[in-house]
Amino acid sequence: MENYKKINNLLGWVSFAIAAFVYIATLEPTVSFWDCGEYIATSAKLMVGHPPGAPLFQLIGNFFSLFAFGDLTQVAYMVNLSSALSSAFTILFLFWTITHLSRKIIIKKGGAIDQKNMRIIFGSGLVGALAYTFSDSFWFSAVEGEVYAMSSFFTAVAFWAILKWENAVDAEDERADRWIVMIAYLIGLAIGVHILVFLTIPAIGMIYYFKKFEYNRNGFYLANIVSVAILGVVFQIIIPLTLKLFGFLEINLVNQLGLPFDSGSVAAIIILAAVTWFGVRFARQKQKPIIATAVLGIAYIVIGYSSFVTLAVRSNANPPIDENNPEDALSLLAYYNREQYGDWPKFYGQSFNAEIERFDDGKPTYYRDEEAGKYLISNDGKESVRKFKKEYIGFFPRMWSDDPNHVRNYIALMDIKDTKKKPSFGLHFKFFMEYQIGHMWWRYFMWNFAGRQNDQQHRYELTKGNWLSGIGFVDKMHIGPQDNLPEHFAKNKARNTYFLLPLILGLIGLWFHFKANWKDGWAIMMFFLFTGIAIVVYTNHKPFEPRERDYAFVGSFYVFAIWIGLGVHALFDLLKESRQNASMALMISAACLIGVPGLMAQQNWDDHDRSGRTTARDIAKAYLDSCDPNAILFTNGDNDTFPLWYVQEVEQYRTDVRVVNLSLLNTDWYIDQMRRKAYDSDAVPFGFEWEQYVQGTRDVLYYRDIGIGDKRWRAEDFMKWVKSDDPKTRFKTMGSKELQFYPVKKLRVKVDKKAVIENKVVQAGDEDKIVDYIDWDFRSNALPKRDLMLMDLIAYNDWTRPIYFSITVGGSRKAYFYLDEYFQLEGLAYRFVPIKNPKAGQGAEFGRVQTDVMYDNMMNKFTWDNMNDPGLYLDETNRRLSYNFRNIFGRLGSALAMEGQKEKAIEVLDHGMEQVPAEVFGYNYFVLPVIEAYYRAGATEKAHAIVNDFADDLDEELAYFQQFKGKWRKSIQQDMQESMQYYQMLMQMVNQYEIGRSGNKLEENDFYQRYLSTMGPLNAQR
Amino acid sequence: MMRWGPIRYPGAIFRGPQDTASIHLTFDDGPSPEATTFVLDTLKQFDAKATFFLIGKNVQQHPDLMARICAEGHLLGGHSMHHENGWNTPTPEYVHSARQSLELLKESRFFRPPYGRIKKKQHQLLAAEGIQTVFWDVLSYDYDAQMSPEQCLEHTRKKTRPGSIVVFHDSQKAFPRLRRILPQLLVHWTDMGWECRTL
Repeated sequence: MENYKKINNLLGWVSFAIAAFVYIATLEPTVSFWDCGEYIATSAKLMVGHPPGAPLFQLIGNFFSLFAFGDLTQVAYMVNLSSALSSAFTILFLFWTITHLSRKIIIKKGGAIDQKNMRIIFGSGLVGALAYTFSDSFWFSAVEGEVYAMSSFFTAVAFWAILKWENAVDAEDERADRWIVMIAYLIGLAIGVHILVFLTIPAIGMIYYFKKFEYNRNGFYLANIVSVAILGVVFQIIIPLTLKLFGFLEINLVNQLGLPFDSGSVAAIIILAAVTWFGVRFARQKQKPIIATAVLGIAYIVIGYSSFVTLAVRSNANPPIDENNPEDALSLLAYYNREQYGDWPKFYGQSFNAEIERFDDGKPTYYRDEEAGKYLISNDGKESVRKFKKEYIGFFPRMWSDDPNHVRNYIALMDIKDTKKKPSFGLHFKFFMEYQIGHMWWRYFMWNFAGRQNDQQHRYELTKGNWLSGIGFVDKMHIGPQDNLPEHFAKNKARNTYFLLPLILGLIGLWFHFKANWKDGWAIMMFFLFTGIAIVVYTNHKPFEPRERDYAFVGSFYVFAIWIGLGVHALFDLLKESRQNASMALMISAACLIGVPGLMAQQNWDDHDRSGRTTARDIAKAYLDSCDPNAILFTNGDNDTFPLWYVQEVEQYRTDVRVVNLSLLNTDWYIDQMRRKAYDSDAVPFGFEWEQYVQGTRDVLYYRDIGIGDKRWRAEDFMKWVKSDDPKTRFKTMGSKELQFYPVKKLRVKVDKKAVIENKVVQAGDEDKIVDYIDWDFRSNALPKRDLMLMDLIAYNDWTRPIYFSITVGGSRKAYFYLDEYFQLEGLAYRFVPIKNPKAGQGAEFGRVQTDVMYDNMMNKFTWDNMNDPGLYLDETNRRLSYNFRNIFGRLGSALAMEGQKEKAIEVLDHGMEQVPAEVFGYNYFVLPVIEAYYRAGATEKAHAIVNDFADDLDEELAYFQQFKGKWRKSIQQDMQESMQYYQMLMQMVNQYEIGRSGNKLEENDFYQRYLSTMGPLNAQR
Repeated sequence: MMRWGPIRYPGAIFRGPQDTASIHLTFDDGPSPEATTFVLDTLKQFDAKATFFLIGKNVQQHPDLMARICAEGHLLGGHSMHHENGWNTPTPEYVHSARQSLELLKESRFFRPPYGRIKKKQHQLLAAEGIQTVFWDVLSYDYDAQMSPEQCLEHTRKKTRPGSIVVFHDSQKAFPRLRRILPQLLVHWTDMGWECRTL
């Protein structure tokens, strides 16, 4: 037994060491895309990130960032390192969890902890722990600065702790229940990272039940219900109630009794402490240990959870990133409850096409008025809650979002004929099974244990992001033929196949676990269901999410890894008893180790190795370097905002540029922050007063035809109307609430030429193009707050601050507020200039190209670290954002060629194809501008070579797609059409530039012959 | 374009009937005051009829010119609202723009995609509404400032055959070349005995 403990500890730490080595070797050296930039910046400087907040993550991240020892470029690496180590510790606890469960099976069967059994226990532990180490989704989160790695760590420790409690009970330790208090504390702490850890509660409850109570059927049912109920109580009652207590006392003590601010919070702390103390004393007196444990448990949850106080403390210091500005108990409650995001139905509620019956009153929003010494209401919340007609309300509403994109996909995916009627329960359930379970969980589960097709985001295509086993007939059944795969499909680094081996071993383990010890099996099953299916039910995914969500389900993959481990035990158990000896135990363990974790490591290494990758940082810098000093840069998404925050906040790069995220600009707190100076960037000169944009005021203005619709107003007059409180600017619709409207959609902004020239807004030589005024026709019938802010900025623009829009803000004129006719492309951003672009409205190609500025930005200012290194792994997000470079290199090249600077054009294009090479990025739509620019610059051979290379890919694709026959044909049609479309676009360019006016004969062109031989038969087929 | 295009765009027009001695002149991007007036005056002199593919935005600015084109017996066609490039404009937006530009013309069913760049899907959607996509087989290159009027003239003369659909541009940008080549070409084609007709 002594020996067992020693080896168990040793091998646990060996697993830890392997995992730590793997994650550190593959760690991203700097910021990553999506939320990482925000998490790293808010960790390094202890600022306030997006709701519901991760204060403990930030504190730990901050501690790690100290080890950069002042080297600002190493801060991100250090925060990422906290993920790597959290993940490695998760593996440690997973190992111990598996060996505990495996040992219990041996003991239950009356086996001895002898050499052969020890080998099989440790074999199980190693195979399970290492399989999880090398699994797709968990590895993804382990090498970047996001909360999911640390969240996994808390989940692993919490579950491991209940097993320690089991051991303590077995050892008749009187103080065994302190493990339960520790679990409560861990749960409290974990809220400061991610609430996923709550989902272990039902499993922990079942372990407790089986240990403490004699089994009978009714007791078992009750135990399941109680375990789930505890989860509900913690999640829906204890945490929100604590905050509500703070909020309630704060409002009432301050407003009713006239006490100073924060006295309510102090009173709440005193009440909580008192309740805990008396509760424990009462339980002790009455000899009720369960009550004592429960009271202490709740108290420790609250203590663990108190890391949220740091958010309020930091928010009061008004740091540059201060999302939702949660400065007191009231705003912290709104922050924790994610009120910004609105609520969505889970079990009972409206369908996507529900009609609104009325608006009910919501909760008022308070703000702290220092002068009055009271909390005043900033938004009364009256008539703000939508109430839907009851015929649209039903049980288990799975299709609920009224976003037009989601609605379109609900209708398409479920083939809904009558779009006005509420979809039946059956249809909701079908959507749940097919999309929410099938595509948003099962597919991810299979990525991890069967294999993965590629790293492209899946939207029901047969060619993108499916699971893949590598076994021909299996894959053929669900995604069609896999033979003759185009080379560029096959060499996608994220194409990984495990031949179902991890899945099969895990299923064997699952079966065996239930057979050998069904009670533990059931507890683990609860763990599996709650970290998998329950998340699916709760989050109620819409079609389609902006990115793949596999990282949210790692809890269920963790559980499955336990069963993979137990699968080793099962294989040994299946042997005839006479053959169950120590050497067989070793052989089975070794074979499983190679066949499962070994195979997964081999397959997954190249697409999880982020070492050397600096794309997110380099692209962020390029956005900022596209701007002149002191610019205001409007951005829109996560990936053109968070990495920019990171380079500015952490690396102190180009802090003169003010990044203004348009999605956040609808909120009053963000406008507050924009109106403050930040580092070297002065306040954004928004001309609204706080009372004029506070939430509930001018959230959205509506166009109303009062018969002057074709009049053109001066922009200043329009803004006066917008800012006016005059009743004539108001109208009434449903309900009693007055709304503000605007009567015209045409504005004229006058241009102060002198100021334009003095501030060098336009380049020398362009002065004669400056217009006297800008006629601005916005076609919108509603203007949200952010539009008003932007219009104000444009109306009163004195040209001292350059105004830019990132090229990733959107793809339509509306996304650019119909200002696109006055855009000048200067890199990854359009500059707003008083020069009318005669070629406006060219689809997504907005703006005139100022070649001098753009050349300087792209050839001299942008730095390229190693994006073109084929050894580097760039996932889809990295590739997609890099394609923007191809596009702008193409546009710059074309513009130079049109100006007659053909050599310079070719230099630019060559540089572009060197930095974003085909070898790494392949060919797609974004190479077309490059081809066209080469043609225009007279580099016909270079253009023709790319055309042929692209066509090589297309030929392979078309040949591959033609294997899809019968029912498969329809599903592949879209991909096939796309390939044919590209072929045709290439042909059109060849015709335009190689035949055209040249006198060459089309029939003699080699590409024309190629086009005919490929496309002729294809078109004849249909 | 005509020899490979039909494979992709079934139903679109690339060239007129080749068994008559007639050709089809088309003018894109108008109406614009100077160029369109010149074109109309010139066509009248030669008693030639043509087809004008008008940009919606320009029609809104010069409704009088559109009326004159109609009154003189020419045919009208749509050319989108803002000269959108079909390759990089989202399909619904593109189709909407095409439809709108036709609505301004009341009765026309002809549409010419700007740059000749239209996706198959866009073409299909328009065709489903009975809108006829019209391409061309001869491009005059009058819009290309790097070409001399002589080069444009030579090229267009050489390429045009009976049934050809020839593209000109009655826009400000093309005007320096158009004003030189159009009268000379009309003289040439009259000599050949070819008649200029609407589509």
